Formats: sequence, structure tokens, C-alpha cells
Amino acid sequence: MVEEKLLVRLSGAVADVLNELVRRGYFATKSDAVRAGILRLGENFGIFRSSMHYWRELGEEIKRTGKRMTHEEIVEALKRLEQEA
Amino acid sequence: MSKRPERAYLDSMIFIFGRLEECNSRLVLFLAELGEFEVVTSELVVGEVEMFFRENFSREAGYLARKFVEGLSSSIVRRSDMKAEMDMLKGKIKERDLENVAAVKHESLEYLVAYDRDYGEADVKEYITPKEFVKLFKLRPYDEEY
Repeated sequence: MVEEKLLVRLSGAVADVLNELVRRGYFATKSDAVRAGILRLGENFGIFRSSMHYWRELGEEIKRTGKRMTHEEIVEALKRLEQEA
Repeated sequence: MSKRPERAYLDSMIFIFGRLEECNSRLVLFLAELGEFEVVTSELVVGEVEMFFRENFSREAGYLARKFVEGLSSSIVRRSDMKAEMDMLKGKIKERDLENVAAVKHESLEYLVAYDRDYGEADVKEYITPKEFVKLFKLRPYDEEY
């Protein structure tokens, strides 16, 4: 996993927004807010897709296949999977 | 084991039931999405979830399921990183549960969220069902354990 350490000086509106995000409890720390902001930028520019994106896409793909599994079928498939693994 | 978890290991079945049924596993995934706790998985979980959706739905579903698990996980434990734990547990835990328990030990986690009686019978103290896990967040769970 790649790691980056940044020292960023913020002032004015950017600093105000960051402080407010933490003060309102949206993020536990300023670092958390900055991390989330970078991911949001990545999503906006199509560099990164969130897990929620894949959750929705998977749901759509399951619908598209037209297959439905009952609870019992899922349990059976899980058993097969364990044996294969 | 009653405090609110910060990190937890999720077994493959959490992702599978969570995507396919309205159940406690889905609540566990939503809590993770909301950032209520950090998800830890392993190469085994990523592979099993992908294989399940590929074999039962489509190749594309398998790919999307893999991306979902990878995206939600803050840490994916590699087999090569937990050799010591696996050697230590060999013979004490059923072969098919070995990798999950080894990953939990390797990451020093308090919770292994799964629905598998074998963990209970093997006295894996980190084992917790999705229903009990959801309760730790003061949510009202579904009746079913999974």
C-alpha cells in the first residue's frame, strides 16, 4: 500500500470549512476530512470508485442476469464454495 | 466483548448474504459503509466472494463483488503475512476456518463476524454473529442470526 505524508498549509475559506466539518462532527479529525475530500475528488474525476458504487453495480448486474437465489440455494452454494476452497 | 467495535474481520458470508438478502449481514455492511467501524478481510474472503458471484451469477458479478470487498476493506490480510499464525493454529481449528482465524489473530482483532457454528464449537473467542454484532451499535437486528 502506497503511503504519502503531506504538510499542507490552509487558510481562509478552506481552513474554515475544514474546521467546521470537524466541529459539526462529520469527521473525527481534520486528517479524516482531508482523506475523504481527496476520495471525493477522485470520484468526481473518474479516478476512483467507492465501494458503494460497486455495491449498486453488483445489484444491477444480479438483476440483469435474471437469476434469483432462495435462502436454501445460497446456503447450498456456500457449502459448495467451502468445499472448493 | 460488549464495547462498540472499531475494527472487525468480516467472513465471506457477510458479503454474500448482505448483498442478496435483507438481513443482519446487510446491516453490518451498511455500518461499515457509514464508517462506523473498519473492515478487515483476507485474500481468502476476496477470492471466495468473487467466486460465489461469478459461479452463481456472472463473470461481471464476480468482478464487481471483488471490487466491492476490496473497496470496503481498510486492510486485506495476505496469506504470506500470517504464516506464523496459521502454523500455530493448525490442528486446533478446522482447515477451512484456519485462514479466517489466523487473519483475526494476525491483526489482533476482537471480532470475527460470521455465521458458522464451527467457530463457536472451536471456542474462537472473537467469533460473533451478525445479529450480535449489530446489537453492539444499538441497532435493532432482524430475527435471523445471519
